[in-house]
Amino acid sequence: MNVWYAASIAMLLCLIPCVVVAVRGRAIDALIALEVATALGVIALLLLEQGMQRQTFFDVSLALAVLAFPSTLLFARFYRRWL
Amino acid sequence: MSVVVAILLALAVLVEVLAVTGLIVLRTTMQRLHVVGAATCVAPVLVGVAAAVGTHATPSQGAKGLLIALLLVVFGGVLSHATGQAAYARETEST
Repeated sequence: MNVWYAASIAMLLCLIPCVVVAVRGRAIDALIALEVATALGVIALLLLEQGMQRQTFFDVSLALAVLAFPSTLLFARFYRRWL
Repeated sequence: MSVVVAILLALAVLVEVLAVTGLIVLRTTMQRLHVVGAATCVAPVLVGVAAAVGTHATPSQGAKGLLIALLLVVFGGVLSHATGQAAYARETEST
């Protein structure tokens, strides 16, 4: 196991507190936990790409980084108006 | 060079661990929003720099890592602002 894998596993373990906050907290706290979890997921995929030397993980992490932006923005707008 | 990469990755992991700890420990929404800033602006830059200076990194791989870091930094700031604005609007409407 190299440092990239170790860091990736640590990032994935950091997702657990985000899930706890998202499940137990209010809607706005879940939204904040989602933002942190998205950053953790993107970083974990980037670290896996570096560790495995596979280009496909980069594409997945890039897609996640780009697509998470409008979705989280929509959640924030929905929270402000309707939730 | 691998020592530099290991130090950068350890710092990134430390920042993320502190961020998720703060997510649990801090109580108010505005306090928790500061955690988002640390998680999306500091750690991705450290990982992106580590990917750029890695031992097996080609120039394209390094550029891609930095691109992801740049996206996270820009989007994270915008999303923190939007979330804070929504939370503030809801709080002022309810009072």
